[in-house]
Amino acid sequence: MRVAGAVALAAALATAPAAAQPREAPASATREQLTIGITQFPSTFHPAIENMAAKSYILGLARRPMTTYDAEWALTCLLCARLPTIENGDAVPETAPNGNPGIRVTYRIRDDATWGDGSPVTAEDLVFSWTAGREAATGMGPAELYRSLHRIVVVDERTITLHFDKLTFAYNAINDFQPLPARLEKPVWEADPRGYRTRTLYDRETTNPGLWNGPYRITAVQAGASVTLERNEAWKGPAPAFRRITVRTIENTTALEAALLAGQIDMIGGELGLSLDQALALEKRAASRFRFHFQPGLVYEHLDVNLDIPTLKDARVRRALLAAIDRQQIVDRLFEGRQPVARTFVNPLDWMADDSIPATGFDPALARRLLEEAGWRPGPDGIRRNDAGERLSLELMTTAGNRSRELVQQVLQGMWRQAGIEVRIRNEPPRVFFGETVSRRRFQGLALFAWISSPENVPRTILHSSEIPREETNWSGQNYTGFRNAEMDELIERIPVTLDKDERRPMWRRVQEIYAEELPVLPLFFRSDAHIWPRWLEGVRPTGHLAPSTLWVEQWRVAR
Amino acid sequence: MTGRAWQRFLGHHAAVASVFLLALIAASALAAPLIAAALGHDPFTPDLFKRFEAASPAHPLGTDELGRDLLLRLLYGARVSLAVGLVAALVSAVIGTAVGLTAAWFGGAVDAALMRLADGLIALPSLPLLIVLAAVDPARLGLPRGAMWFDLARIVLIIAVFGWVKVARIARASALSILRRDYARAAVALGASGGRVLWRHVAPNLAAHVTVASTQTVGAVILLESVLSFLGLGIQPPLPSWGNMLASAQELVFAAPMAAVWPGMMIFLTVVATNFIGDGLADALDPRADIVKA
Amino acid sequence: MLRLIGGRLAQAAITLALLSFATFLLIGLMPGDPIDLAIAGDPRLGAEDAARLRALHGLDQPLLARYWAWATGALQGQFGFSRLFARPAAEVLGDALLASLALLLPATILSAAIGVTLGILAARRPRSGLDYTVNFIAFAGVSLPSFWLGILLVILFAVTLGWLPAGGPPDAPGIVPWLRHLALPMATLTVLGLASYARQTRAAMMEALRDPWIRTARAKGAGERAVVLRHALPNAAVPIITVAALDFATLVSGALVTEAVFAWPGMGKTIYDAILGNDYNLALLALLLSAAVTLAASLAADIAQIAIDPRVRT
Repeated sequence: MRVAGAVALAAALATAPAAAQPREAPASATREQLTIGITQFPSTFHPAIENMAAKSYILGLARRPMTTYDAEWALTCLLCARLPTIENGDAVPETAPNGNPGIRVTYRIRDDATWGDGSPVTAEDLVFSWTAGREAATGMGPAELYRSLHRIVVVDERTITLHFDKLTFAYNAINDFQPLPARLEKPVWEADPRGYRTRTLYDRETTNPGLWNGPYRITAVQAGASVTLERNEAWKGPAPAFRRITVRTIENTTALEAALLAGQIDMIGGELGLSLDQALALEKRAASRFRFHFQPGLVYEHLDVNLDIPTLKDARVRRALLAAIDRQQIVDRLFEGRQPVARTFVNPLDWMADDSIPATGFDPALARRLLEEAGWRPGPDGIRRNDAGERLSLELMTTAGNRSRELVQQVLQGMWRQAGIEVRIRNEPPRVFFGETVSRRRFQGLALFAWISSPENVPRTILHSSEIPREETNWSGQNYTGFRNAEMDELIERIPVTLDKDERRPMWRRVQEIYAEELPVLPLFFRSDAHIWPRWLEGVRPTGHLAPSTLWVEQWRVAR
Repeated sequence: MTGRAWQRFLGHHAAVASVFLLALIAASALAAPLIAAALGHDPFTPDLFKRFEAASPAHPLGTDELGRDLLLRLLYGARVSLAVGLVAALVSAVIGTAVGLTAAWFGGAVDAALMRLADGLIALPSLPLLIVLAAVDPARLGLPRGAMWFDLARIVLIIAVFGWVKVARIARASALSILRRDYARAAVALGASGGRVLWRHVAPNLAAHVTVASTQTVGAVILLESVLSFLGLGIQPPLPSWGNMLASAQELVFAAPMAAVWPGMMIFLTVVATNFIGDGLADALDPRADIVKA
Repeated sequence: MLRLIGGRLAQAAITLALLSFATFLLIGLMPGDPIDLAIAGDPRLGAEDAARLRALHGLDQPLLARYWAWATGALQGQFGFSRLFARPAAEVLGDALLASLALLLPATILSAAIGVTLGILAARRPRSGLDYTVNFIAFAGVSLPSFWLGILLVILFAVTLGWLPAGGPPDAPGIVPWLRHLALPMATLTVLGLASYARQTRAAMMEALRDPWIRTARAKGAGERAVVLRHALPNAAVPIITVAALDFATLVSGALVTEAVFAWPGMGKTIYDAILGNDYNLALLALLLSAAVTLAASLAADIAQIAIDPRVRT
């Protein structure tokens, strides 16, 4: 027994060096293969079912939506020939059948848009996508588009007119609307719409070329581990640089880092990559091997304040809380200044960001004064008390197990303690935190988490008073703070229907002003993604919002 | 323990040394506030200007990712980790032995029910149970919210609920094989009561297996605490434990490996010490040990 | 023996029924279903979408009704579709199980073989240098968290030396890529697993070697090798088999952390995802599987015990 065991172990170890392959060859101008590491594996490959960062990253290589926001955060056409606007006459406001102001928008699919099996992308593919999407049984994700898009008219094989029963400034953004190959998918759907989700070819025959219209198509899937894509021969756009791209899933970020250092992956997609401080530490040691890019984005880390808590009802206390914390120091020390401190929920990169509005910075004297005014005076144990003798003590919650947030949380706790505010930390797993405590407004003080949004996102669900979660409405809405402000409500209703950007600008300014004055939410910072590329790779342009950098993979180049 | 057992235990040098080691760790953990005062740091307040400092006279082991003194955090961590590790292992051992003996003695339906319960606990996915528990707000049960003793008691309870199974199965298996031996059968035949047979004949012979099985779990239990913290069921920051110090060092493997080495060392030392003490106890309690020595 | 197995099968059926219900209940009781979480992560999903998706996945039905539907299906061998992966649950689990077994079987065999050997060696000379060495290896095994052992091996063999891949299943078919990709995770599980075998064997063997019949055997002039292997080991086997059965059963439901470090798409990760995703069909099938293995392992341990000594009553 002993011998057998020893021999087996020796054999396992002995094969190792013998079979070892030579390490990565030096960079050359053309490369067969690019291997990307990310931390998630998509549960489905269907473009319209479920929304998941890993799926959108991988499908960015293999299929194109009609429109998207680009790296400059401007709306742009990917599959359409030109962006329809009211100015160029492709979009015409009209009255919808339900009497509301609506609009009809005409899109022309690019002439060279082709599925991987050589057949053209046609109007019928879009019509099928809409028909299937608006049928509740199909189970597609966000249905807002399918609800407001009440009629589609096919103009010719490549041209369609969409009739919407509402008119907002984002009338021509159909980022979630993408053609599905009707020739392949329609029969499957028609046979059983309810079972479509489990029978779609996207999941049963993922490698079928006819499903993909991007520069690459999926050629192999190893469940939970990797997806291999090869050049799509039918792609008519600029030829991409690599013959093959493999996207590997390594969920543990330390293991992901090790795989990068071991040369098993060439790059880490920042959309689903290392945590920022991990990447910063890696940069110090491996800057000669890799290029690091830190892309500030639309993930807004903040503290929701429960405005029903008597102490926190007082705006002076909220302002004091903000003035007592040095967010710039946190960003500088923990994240080497790579994440912008937030003034409000509006990202500094968004066009309507207004840095002239007065914002509360780190100001201990102000914090002290405001707390005194609000009746909180220093107590014997260093914690402030009010006249009734109650201690100024709050609960601060976040998602347990999120290391980065737990670090920030402890620093905040220390800073508040300096101002005489006691903060008790009580963290919960994300399931409980988001599923119950925050969404049912049961947090007793402050809740630290992040919102992710899109460019010029109207914060209706977060700030409108009708969106306060209540038992009667089955806890819908995301105004977890319980914020009510008539002027804010009105602005939130008017902004979407104001088509002129210059008219919206003062309204956006006012929204930010109210937010910064009332402070229903204490802004912390916007998160940055850490993109790590090999030195020989050029042309990757991260966006900082939900559109992945892979949507422009044909611009990725190998340096000479 | 009888005098002879003491004698045998004291003869086990590794066990005796381990008792001193554990006592030393426990004493310095209890003295942590004094040491903190002597060093002049607060191990709970972050100082972002002193992150990842190397060892120095002011910080004998350096500082952690938030600039807090590592030595002090190790000592405060010892309070949680030692308490959880030792108490949970002990509680699991007691429950496990009791269940194992009951099953072996009564047999039949009792045995079947207890052992299938044990099988069920092994197969039952603990994750949803833990998440459900995490959602229970102690305040609504009239229990204190955020009190440390409550958090600790909850950790011990959760670990013991899953931890007794292994001990129970080992105790049962060994008890069955002892009960069939001649001296045990003779005792039963002579009309000794069940309790007496189990206590006098079976329990001493189980000691070796049970101590080995349960002292072995001390390490796992200390680490399990950090898994519970990950689910919000453990202790809350900024309170340290060896397990959560080790867990938060995971992302810093390449950047700050020492952040993991120290808590890892402490866990290793505790495991070594408890296991040697376990061995010493098993030897001391074994009724046949004298025969060999003689 | 047949009566024992028959009785056990009846008990197993009851245990499985109770367990599946308990699991169903627990998953259902977890606050916040995945639809809630999807809304928190996707600003484009509204309350209406949530209600629609919930109805679609049947998450709005009462728990008992859903359990009944599942149980009647399961009795007919219909385990349904995985909500998360949109594939038959059995298919998803089958892939994961194969990946897991490829790793676990060799690791369990290796750790048992090495652990028992070390345990016997240590027991023969208690408190010798060899005994202390074995003990320290075992202590290291129980105090090293799997994450750290795994990542240390990766840093040494993949990052520094570049001999072995850092993780993941092999891309290419063939025995050599498989062995290369298996080597590190297998080594991790083996080191972690052998500790328990070594310590338990050592304790059991030391006890067995003290028994009177060993002295009798020695007195009759049996060789040391025969004494240890033929006389002492069978008596020490009971606790060892008990431990082995327990360990294997625990491992089948997944070595979550080891899988994570080596990006190995096995059972641990699948079950974790299924539970957090409220994927009842997948989670329950996984539960049935791991419960069946547990019950079988515990039955096997009892049978082995009887085989070693027929006097044991059960």
